[in-house]
Amino acid sequence: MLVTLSLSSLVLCAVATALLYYGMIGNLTASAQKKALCCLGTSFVLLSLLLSVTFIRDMEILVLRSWYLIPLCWSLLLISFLIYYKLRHVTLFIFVAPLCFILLLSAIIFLHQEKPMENLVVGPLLLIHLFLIFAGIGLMGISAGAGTLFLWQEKLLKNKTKLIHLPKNIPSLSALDRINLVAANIGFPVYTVGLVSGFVWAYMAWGRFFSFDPKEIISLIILALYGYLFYERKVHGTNGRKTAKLAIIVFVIAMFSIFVVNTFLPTHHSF
Amino acid sequence: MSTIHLIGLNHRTAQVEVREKFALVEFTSPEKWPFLCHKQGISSVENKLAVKESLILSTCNRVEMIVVYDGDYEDLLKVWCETKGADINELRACMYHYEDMEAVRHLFRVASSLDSLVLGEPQILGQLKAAYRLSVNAGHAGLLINRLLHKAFSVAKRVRSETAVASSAVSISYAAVELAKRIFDDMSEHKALLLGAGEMAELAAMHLMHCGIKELKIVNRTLSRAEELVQKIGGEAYTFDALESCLVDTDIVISSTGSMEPIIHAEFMQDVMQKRKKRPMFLIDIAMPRDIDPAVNHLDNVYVYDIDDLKEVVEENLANRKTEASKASQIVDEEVKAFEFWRGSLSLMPTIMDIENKGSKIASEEVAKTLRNLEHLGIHSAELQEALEKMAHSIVRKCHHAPLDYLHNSYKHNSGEQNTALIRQVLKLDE
Repeated sequence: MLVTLSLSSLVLCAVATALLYYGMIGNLTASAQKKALCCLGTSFVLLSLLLSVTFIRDMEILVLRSWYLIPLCWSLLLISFLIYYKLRHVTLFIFVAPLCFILLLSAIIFLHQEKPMENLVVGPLLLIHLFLIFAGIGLMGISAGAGTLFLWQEKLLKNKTKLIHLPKNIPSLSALDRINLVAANIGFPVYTVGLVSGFVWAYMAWGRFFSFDPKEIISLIILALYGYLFYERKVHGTNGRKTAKLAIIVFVIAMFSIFVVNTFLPTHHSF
Repeated sequence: MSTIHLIGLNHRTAQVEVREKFALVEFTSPEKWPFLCHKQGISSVENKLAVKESLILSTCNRVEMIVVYDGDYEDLLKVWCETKGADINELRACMYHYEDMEAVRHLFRVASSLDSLVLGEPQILGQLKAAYRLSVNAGHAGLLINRLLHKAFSVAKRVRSETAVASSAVSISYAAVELAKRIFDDMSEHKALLLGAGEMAELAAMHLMHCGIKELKIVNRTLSRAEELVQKIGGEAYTFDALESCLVDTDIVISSTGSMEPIIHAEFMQDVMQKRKKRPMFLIDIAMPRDIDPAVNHLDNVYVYDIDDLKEVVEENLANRKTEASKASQIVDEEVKAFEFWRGSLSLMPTIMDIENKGSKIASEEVAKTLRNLEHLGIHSAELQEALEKMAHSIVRKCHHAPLDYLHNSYKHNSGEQNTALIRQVLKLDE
C-alpha cells in the first residue's frame, strides 16, 4: 500500500510538473494551471492518507528514510498550498512540483535500504521536531523557487529582453520577492523552533543537546544563513537579487544535508 | 524655383548615441538659429549660411531639417556638422536626403506618424507644431514652409480620421507601462516620478495614472511648468532641488528633460538606493540626449530602459497596422500630388498677374475713351462712370476666365510651363 500510494503521488507530481513547464514555455493557459493544481492537490490527499495509515499502524515508521522523505514532500505541498491561498500565485508550484517528484522518487528508491535509528524515543517532541523542520525546509524550497524565478526574470529585464520574449506567466519581480519574503518570514521561526525541539529531544533521548554530529553542524550552518536572510529582510529591508541568492544557497545546503550528509557521512540521522 | 531639401536621421538610420550627437535641440530662439534668412540681410550675422526658409525638427527619434535653398545640400550638411562639432562622414553614413516632392512626401508621412518608431503615435504632431512655431519665431517660415506645414497638419488629421492607424493604445508610454508591470505587481502600491515636463513624459505619466498609480510627482527645472502639468494630470510639483528626496520615495521614474548632459549618474543612484533600502526602481529614459547614465542599469534592483529599448513595441504592432498604414500612404500620395499642383501653380502667378493687369489696363483705357465721347454729348455723372468701370472689368474678367482655367488645368497634366509660354505669346504679355 505504501508503494502504491507513493507511486500514485509520484505520477501525479510528474504530470503536474510537465503541465506547469509546458505551460510556462508555451504561455500556459488557465485550464492547464488548474489541471496541474488538481494533480498536486490529489497527490497531497494521497500522501495524507498514506501517512495517516502508516502512522496509526506503526509509529516506528518515523525512523525510516522513506518515511522521512515522504512527510517532507507532504509538508512542502501543505506549505505551498497555504502560501498559494495567501498570495494566489501558481508560479510557486513550478519549483515545488519537481521537488516533490524528486523527494518521492528518492523515498521509493530508498524503500528497501531502511535500517532503524538507534536508541529512539518516539514521542510528541520528535513529531514536533520533524514536522517543523520539514515545514521549514518546505518554506526554504518556496523561497528558493521564487528566488530562482526572480533571478531569471531579472536577468531578462537587465539584458533588455524584448517584451514579446518575456515569459507571460511569470509573476512580476516584486511578486516573486514577496513570495520569497513571506516564505522566509514564516520559515525561519518555524525552522528555528523545529531545530530547538530537536536539541531538546536529543537531550531527553541521549542526555546531551549537541553531539557535534555532521547533521547537527550543517543544521546550525543552515540556521545561521537562514537567520542572516531573515535579519537582512527584517532589519535592513534587503530585497531583490541578494535575498534571492541567499534563499537559493540556504535551500541548496538543506538539500545537501538531506541527500548527501544523511547518506554518505556517519551521523545518527543516517537511518 | 528654389529646392526644398530635407536632410535628417532617425531611429532606423542611426543609433541613439549618433542621434544624441547630432541632436539640434539648442535652436530655441532666432539668435541661436543656425541659418540666416535671405530677408534678414546677409551682413547682419557673419558665418551663417543664408537660406530662403528653414525648419528644424529634433525629437528623441529623429533629427531633421527642412530648408528651402538654391545651393547644394552639402552646404547644409557642413552647417549641421560645424554646429555640432561632428565629422561630416559620420553624418553622411546615417542620414537621408530628399528633395522637393520626395521631401514633401517624407514630411507628410512624419506628420501622419507613418514614419514613427511607434506607428500612429500622436506625439510627433505636437513636436512638429512646436518646431514650426520656432521656425516662425525665428522668421524662417516663408510661403513654402507655411504652406507645407499647414498641409502636413491637415494630412495628419485626415489620416487619423480616415484610417485606424492610430486607433489602438500603442505607444512608447504603453510599452513603458507594460515593462513596469513586469517589475511591480500592483501599480496602486507604487509611486511615479516625472522628471521634466515634456509631452512624451506627460503621455507616459497619464498612462500610469490610468493604471492606478498611487502617487505622481513632477520634478522640473521651472516650478511653474511642473505646476501647470500638475493642474492637468494631478500629482505634486517640485523643482530639481528635491530630486534626490523624490527619487528615494518613488518606484517608477519617467525622464524627458531637455538637458544636454545626463542628470542621473550611477554614483548618485547608489546613494539613492541606499536610502531607499534597495527597493526596486524602474527608470524610463525617453529624453534625447539621455538623462540617465546607462551605467545606472548595472546597479542592483535598478532597471533602466531608454527609447531604443522600447523599440520592440513597433515589432509587436507593425504587422497589425500594415493594412491601415497602406491606406494612410494612399492619402499621403494624394496630398503630395495636390501640393505639387499648388507649387506648380506658383509659377503661374506672374502670368495671372500680367493677364489681370493687362486686362485691367485695357478696361480702364476703354472706359476713359467712352467717358470722353459721352462728355462731348453732354452726358456725365459719377454713377455712370462707376457702372461703366464695373461693366468693363467684368467683361475682361470673363474673357480671361477660360485661358486662366486652361492654364490651371495644364499644371495638373504636367504641361503648365509650355502652355504658360503659349498664353503669354497669344496675349502678347511680354510686349
